[in-house]
Amino acid sequence: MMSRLLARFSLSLLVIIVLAIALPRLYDLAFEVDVARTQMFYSPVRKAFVFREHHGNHDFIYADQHGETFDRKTFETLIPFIYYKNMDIWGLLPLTIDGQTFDMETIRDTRQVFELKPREIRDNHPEIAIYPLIESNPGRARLRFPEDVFRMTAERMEFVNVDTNTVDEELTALFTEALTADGFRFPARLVAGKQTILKPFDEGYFVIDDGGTVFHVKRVDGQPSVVKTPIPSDLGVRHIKVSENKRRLFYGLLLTEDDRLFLISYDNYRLVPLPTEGYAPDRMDYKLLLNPVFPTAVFGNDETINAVAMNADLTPIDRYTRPVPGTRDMLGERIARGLFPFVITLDDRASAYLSWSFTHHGWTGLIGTMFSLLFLLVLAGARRSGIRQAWPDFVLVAIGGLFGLVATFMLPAKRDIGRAETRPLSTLKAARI
Amino acid sequence: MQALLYKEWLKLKPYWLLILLGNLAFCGYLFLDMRHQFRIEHAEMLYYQASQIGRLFYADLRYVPLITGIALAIAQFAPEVIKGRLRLSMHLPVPLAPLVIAHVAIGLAALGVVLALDMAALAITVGVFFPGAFVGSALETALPWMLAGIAGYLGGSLVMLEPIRRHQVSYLALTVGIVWLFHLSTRYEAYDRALPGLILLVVLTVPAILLSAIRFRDGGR
Repeated sequence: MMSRLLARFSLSLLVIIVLAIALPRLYDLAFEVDVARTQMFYSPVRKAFVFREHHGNHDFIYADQHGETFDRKTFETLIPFIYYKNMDIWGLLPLTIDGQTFDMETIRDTRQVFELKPREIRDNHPEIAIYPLIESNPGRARLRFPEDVFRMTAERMEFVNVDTNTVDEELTALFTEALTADGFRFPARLVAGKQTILKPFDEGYFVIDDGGTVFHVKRVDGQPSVVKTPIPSDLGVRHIKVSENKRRLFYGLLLTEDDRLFLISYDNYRLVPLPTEGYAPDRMDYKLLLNPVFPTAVFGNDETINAVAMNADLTPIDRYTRPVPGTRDMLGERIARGLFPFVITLDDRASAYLSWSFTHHGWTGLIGTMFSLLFLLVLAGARRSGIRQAWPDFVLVAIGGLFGLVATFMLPAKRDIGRAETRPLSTLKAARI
Repeated sequence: MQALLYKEWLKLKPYWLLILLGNLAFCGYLFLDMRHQFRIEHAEMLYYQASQIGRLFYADLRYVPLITGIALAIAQFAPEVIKGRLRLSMHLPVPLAPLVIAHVAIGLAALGVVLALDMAALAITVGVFFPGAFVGSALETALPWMLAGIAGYLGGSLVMLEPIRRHQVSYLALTVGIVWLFHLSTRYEAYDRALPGLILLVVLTVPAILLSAIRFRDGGR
């Protein structure tokens, strides 16, 4: 009896969990409406924040922070540093802003975009800790992958030949000695670089040692180039995103454990702070749009969007926050909230890892549960089996709502066994036993 | 009980050997396929594809454990239920729960050996061509596939032991639902933080099999 109870309990739990994952996904498959995140910019023309807001289907609104709306083309002309190619086609270049004149070339050469998404942050995605150290002075037009890779072990920077899969002792000693000569303390805490040859040039890796000191390591003409940067070792660096750009102003972005974000300057690795008030790195995309007049930082997610406009020297001058319309108030999602008492998800929306989440729909979710109970009541009446016999089903539905109702059909009830037991012995194929 | 385990082992042996042989053949293919890649493409590009693009050179392994698990469940329980032989064991002076658990345990042990072999072959194949970090990554990536094999075995047993057709269909749907959860992502190590919950689901299947067995004893065919 005990084992039967345990068996029923675990099966019920299993069925409800799987249904709570699968049914909402099937529902989304049928009814999900995609709503794009709001795009926000600072218009150097209007000196105001402008945005493109999506209200589902093909309903886009182009407007500014004061409520004035525009057609798409006008909107694009308000942010010429973004849509400069269209501006050129429309014959609107060169343009003059605050007495400064910009043509196609100056815009192209002065604009730059930095971006950091939650899943890009080191601890939000898996990484195979093996890195190619690309020759930074290739002596040819394009970068090439070397025939070795390196890994940071507990006491050395170890190179492995990729053709033979064996350690290259000579190269290992060369780089390890170069690092220790500059005061590098093994093991490394973080290795950050852009592991691709599809970039204009190579800046190697930023490697943080055991003491928190940031080192800049490159391979130049086959020899190690190690720079001990003045970046404070107690900064608490969480992530560094290197992105080589021909302008050679910034190596990339640096994120700290306390959610501050900096640009790493080519000027002796000076850190340039970026606006981060309200920024949650694990939940928001961060975008820095550099242009010669009003660089803008934009960060947000499906719920809110923040924008901070800055001077050319990156001091904030204006900020604007706006809720994203999203899908929360759309009919499909409202019905889903009423239909399912709770939803279990297993997906990789939060990071590059699949993760579990449990969302309870509160009072709204009880609507579906009430209807499910009512349905069961009618069914029990029709079957004449009585509510007393079906009480486990009622418990199941009270807890699991619609999932519980589906489960009652999937799970064997006591009456099934009763039915089987009343069969004549011959139908049990006793003869065969 | 020992006699019971021995009986199960005698019954399973020929099928198990066949399954083992099939898996061995697959492992051979896996190694040759990897070697072939390294013969036709530069190693540094393959390293880049594996670590940055996220290409899984061993992706063909994905459904092998699942097929293995289902095959083993069929091999073990099809003869029992079709000819009603399990009823014989159920008349032994052994309580039902230990009896069923013994059956499942020997099946799981047989499956475990095959899956361990798959994992070892994967480790060797990756380890010959890539440094250790790639081996660890491959094993972590393949772990949910192995669990899907176990889920397939347990789900298969659940379906086979259930005496009523309608519930067999329900259990099949349930098994598909569980197995599907192990194949949501094709990225490496994507399941690293989701495994405890998934293991819980697999563990919950074991007592569920017991319910089917009770029903098989009490009614069924």
